[in-house]
Amino acid sequence: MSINRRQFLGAAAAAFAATALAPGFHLVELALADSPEQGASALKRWGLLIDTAKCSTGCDACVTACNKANGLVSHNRPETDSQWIRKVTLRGEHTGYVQSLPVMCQHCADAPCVDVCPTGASFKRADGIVLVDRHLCIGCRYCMMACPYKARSFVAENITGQIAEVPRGKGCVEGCTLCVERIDRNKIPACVEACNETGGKAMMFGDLKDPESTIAKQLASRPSTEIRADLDLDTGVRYQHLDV
Amino acid sequence: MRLLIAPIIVILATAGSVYGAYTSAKDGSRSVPQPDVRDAKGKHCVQPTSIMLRDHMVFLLHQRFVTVHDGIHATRYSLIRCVNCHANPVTHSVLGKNGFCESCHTYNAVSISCFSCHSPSPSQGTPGPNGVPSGIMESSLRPTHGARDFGTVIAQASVHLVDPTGTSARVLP
Amino acid sequence: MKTIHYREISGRSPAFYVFMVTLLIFIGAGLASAHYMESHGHHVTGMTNQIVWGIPHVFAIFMILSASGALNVASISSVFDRGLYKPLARLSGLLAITLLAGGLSTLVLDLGRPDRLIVAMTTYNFRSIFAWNIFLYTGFFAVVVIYLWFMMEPRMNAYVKPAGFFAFFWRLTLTTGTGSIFGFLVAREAYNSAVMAPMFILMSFLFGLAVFMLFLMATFWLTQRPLGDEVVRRLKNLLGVFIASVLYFVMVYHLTNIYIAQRRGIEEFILLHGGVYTALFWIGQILIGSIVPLVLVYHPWFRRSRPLIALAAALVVIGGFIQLYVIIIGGQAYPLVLFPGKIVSSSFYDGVINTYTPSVFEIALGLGTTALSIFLASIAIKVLPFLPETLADNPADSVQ
Repeated sequence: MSINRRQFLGAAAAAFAATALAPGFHLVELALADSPEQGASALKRWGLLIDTAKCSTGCDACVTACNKANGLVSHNRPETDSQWIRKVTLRGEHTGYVQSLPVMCQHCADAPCVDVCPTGASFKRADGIVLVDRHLCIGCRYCMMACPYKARSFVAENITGQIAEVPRGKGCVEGCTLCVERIDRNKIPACVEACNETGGKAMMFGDLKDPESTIAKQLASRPSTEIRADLDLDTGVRYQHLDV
Repeated sequence: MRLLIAPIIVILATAGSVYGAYTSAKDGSRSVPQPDVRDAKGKHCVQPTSIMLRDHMVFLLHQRFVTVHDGIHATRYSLIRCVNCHANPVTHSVLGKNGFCESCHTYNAVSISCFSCHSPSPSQGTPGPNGVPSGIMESSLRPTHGARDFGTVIAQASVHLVDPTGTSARVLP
Repeated sequence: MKTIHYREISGRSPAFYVFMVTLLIFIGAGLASAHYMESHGHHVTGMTNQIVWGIPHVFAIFMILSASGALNVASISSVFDRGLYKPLARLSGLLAITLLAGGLSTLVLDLGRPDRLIVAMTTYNFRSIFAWNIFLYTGFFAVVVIYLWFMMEPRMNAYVKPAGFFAFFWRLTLTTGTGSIFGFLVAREAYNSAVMAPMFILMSFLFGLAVFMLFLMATFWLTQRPLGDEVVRRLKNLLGVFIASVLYFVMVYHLTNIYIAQRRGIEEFILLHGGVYTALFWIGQILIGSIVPLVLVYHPWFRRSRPLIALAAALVVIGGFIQLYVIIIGGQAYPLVLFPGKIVSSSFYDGVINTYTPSVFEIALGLGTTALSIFLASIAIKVLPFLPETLADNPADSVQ
């Protein structure tokens, strides 16, 4: 194996940091450590594009898939059961025009939940996904007061049988993660997958920052909007054909 | 005052040892239930046992930040992998009286809060080598950048390492 | 100027012990409820994913506001140099501390993870007004304790005035922070308003003074210490001014919202057809909490009666509690508007007026922490000289 000078310096710096920060690691492993590009990157911004015209009132494939993928089980208490994604039906008060659309965490660039969280448990990942770090969440529910989209739920009872990749438990606030554990393994969110397989093919997932991505091209070529655009939160979830 | 304290300590110490001797005589063996830490599917842990005993919480604490905030999943100290390897073969859990985590934590009187959210049972999917389901293995899904085999350091040759310190993990904008 | 003598209450009568044991029972019930809510999860409460803050928050914010308001009497004596209020300053500082302790313990015990309090104390997001409040509240304890020490230690008396100034500044900041918890909520039509912070400051003046008057009159009556008419008259008049000020802010708040077309829905809900919230607003907050006490305080038929003045203060407390109930619960009961001009429906209570029925556990928690405040204050006046021996009229004060 051959290392050039640059790589050697990088590895040496990492090894120095490791000896300072984390005694107990073996230096030989550090020198061979993997490249860092594996984490969430600020070069990307994950988002969704939802075509309301293709979303039908009776279909809830996305909701079912979300519940299954994230292990959300109803306790038959609808007022406290968690809902990460929901189907909302709209009827124009003055027009009578009816449409149906899924609403979930909109993954705002300027997320009010992130601003109000006292401990920093609500945070935005480098790639734009808004998450709750359950290790830091104290369950004050201020983020639920602040969220304009009613996107968050509070876990109000003991939970067992979690899916290993989706830890969740009593006393913390939670919401749509954009299926972050799937994204990190190069899979698309469960709702999008289900919509494309058994639903109306109304949902699209992709990198908003990559001008070559399908979602970016779609956004560039046709009008789209965000919910509560008046708040100017720059949401990662956008809608087309939404009559608001 | 000091005159009082000394005899009290002596009396308490004597009483304690007498009680201890009495209970162990009665049980015929140990007076305190010993932790059951035998469950493990692999041959070696990710670090020598002596280090794991002392520092596993440090590794997990570090790992949790890297995973949740930076989105790096397949470093070696993943809780999912701990559970997959150490779950009791009968109960399929690291909790319970004979559970790998709970028995030892009970013995040491240290509470664990991990499993109020994390699953104490192995993840679903096909178990891969050493009980790791292949479906979540990083190496099977991502392009590997210089993945290497540390056969002697860790038993799981198919798992490649991501910078264990996490110091260089974040990609700057 | 005559010397003020302070003396502990004796606290040896059977009545005192019965009172303290009763308080302890309430505290115990509150702690047991908190434990029950924590171990079963919040589904045993009336709070839901729609009404995320419930009656514990009404108790908590009432006590936090009262805490900073209770300090006002001390501020008037040290900052504004009113000699008449000087004998009351120690009690004022004491109530500020114990009320804040009660309010904060309510908030903490209602958290989803109260066991993680240490996280809240060590990990901060400084964009959050909540994080700021953690510093403001803990700082308030320290500031008031020092202020009390300067008042009670003769060698430090010289520094009372700067300490009083600082405490006054601090409590204004603190209440601005409390009001801004709601004022900064951009998404909620009931809350997002800059007037929230000054309105909360006036509410704290009012609630704190009412609680202070009740505690003062009760302790002086029970310990048979003389309480002069002049002191009561001044406090009563101040109460009247504060009631009117709060009414003014309530009016400005609602008029502003009525003028904004987007907010007509929430205004019609609270003021016209919100069922229990409309009733609580008009009958509880406006009639019982404001109009009746104003009449009791100012009308020549009533204004000299000691029991009626105490009644006015009690009505202010009840009205204030109701006002916070209407703000906190009523504001959440009206659905969040995601799609203006649309009739919405979903499985997640979109577009629905949300219902809330407080559970016995939440109420017990609130009563328990209220009892804690009173318990702490009662212990303190027994072990330390907080109460003056007499507040009998001094002819010099009435011409001041």
